[in-house]
Amino acid sequence: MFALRTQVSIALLFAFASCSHVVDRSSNGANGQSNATGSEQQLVAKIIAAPNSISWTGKRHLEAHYLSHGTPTDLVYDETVTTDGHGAFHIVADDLVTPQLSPSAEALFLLSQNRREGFLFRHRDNTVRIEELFLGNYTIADQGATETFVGRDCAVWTIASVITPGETWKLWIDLATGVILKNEERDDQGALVNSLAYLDFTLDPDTSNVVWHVDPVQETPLDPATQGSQLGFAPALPKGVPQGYRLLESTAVVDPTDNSTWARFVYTDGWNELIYMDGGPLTKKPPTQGISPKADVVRTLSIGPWLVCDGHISNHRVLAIGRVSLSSLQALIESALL
Amino acid sequence: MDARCQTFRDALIESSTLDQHSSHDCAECAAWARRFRQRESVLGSLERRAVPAELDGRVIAALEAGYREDRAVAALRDLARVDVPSSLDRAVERVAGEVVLRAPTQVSAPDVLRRLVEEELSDPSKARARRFVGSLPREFAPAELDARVAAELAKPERPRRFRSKLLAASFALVVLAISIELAISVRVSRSRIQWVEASDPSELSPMAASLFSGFSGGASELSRGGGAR
Repeated sequence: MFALRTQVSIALLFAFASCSHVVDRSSNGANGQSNATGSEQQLVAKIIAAPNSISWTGKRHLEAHYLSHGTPTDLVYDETVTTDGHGAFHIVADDLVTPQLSPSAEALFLLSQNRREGFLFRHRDNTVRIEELFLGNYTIADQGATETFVGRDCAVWTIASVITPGETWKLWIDLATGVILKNEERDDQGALVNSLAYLDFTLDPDTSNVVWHVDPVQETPLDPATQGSQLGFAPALPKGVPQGYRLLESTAVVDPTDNSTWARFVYTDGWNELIYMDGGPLTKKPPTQGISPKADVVRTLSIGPWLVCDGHISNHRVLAIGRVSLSSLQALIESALL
Repeated sequence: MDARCQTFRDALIESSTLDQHSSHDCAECAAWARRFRQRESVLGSLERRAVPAELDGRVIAALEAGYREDRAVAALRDLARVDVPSSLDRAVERVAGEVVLRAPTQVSAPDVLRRLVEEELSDPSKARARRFVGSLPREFAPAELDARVAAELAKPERPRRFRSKLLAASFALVVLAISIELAISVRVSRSRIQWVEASDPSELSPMAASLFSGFSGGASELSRGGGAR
């Protein structure tokens, strides 16, 4: 009996130690080394630089096929993107192909897409975020031969996550500019999950009539030394981010609905992104039927590969969004606030 | 003006190229059509004004699912308070009687009830467990155990070496107990979060719903009950 208790105690001690131990996973990717050749590394650098160095416009076709509440759902639409080569951009949603909605609902969807063009360009569009992290967390299989797509010579790569086996994307990358002209994400059965493909592509277009994106919310970079005074509260930073991820940027964001300030931290594994936000002390807890007002409540919603957690813990508003497992987001939130 | 006149006028509004003499012969409508075209001409000559930049945002904010609750609350706040007619007061007083009307101000829940309800709400599972355990019949130690304990006590005193070993073992047990308590407290603090699976983006805060829409490329809005439907 005593031996059994001892074993249980030791096991719990190890569990406790592993809970409290903060794992620093902010190294250069999961394996810390890359299989990329010199030319592949150069093209990766071009991909990262393209939005700030290349001016282009093109109509593109986007598809998403996912499960929503267990029901297969399709989202297909067209949009036009334009960049000025100095960081400015503009996206116009042109047409919603699937699902078929009433004219007013479709108009509202397209208007909403236009409204969030900044988020779409910066966070939805797949691209390489940090070179060494991407090269450490993803393998690149170059098809070898150059393929022409929308009139451009492209390298065709298949990239695969080292951390999450089965996550693969096929990319068509313009060799001259580094713009990803087509990408396809397929599941482990080979079925198309997400895709983006340019239908046409023009370099250095006339942009004199383009209305460039202006951030609708007030957002300023966070200075770690003064972030407490910037925000009006000390943000709780996650100590256990998912394997392979590290901090990409941190900003203070003002919520236009109530003028409260949030600390926003964007993490990346070099390709995917994960957003964690601390809204500071909760002034008024939202009522939740059947749940004690004193309880910490976090709502989770999963649609296709996307997951959001939204609630309040230890009297802090908290929000996390990513394409990671629920347990990963839960661990991220708990590591920050418990 | 009859139904044909109304049809003619509606058609003219929808299509300015409609020939007003082709299918409808009415002097009143012809005059109305002339005035309509004059106004159309005047309006067309006006300088085109740009829409304020924030209009898009305000339209979205007004229509997005996440703001429905705010709009509902605002609408309720805007409602004027309806005065109750004095005849209703008198009728209620007559039916219920003075005793019933005064009772609510005199009776209040005892403090112990308030405390029990708070305990129940703050940790429902703990409260349920306490009630369940409290209702179990008390078990008594078997007589054999009493006899064995008495026999142990009757034995001569153990050597000092054994006592020191016992002390060390007790100390180790205390350390283990503290460690286990710490480990359990970590597990308890984690489990106090209630993870609630939402079925719809409208259950999220406006900030979360908005970011999730962008992150999913609009997919979340097309899910069940989403804002675009």
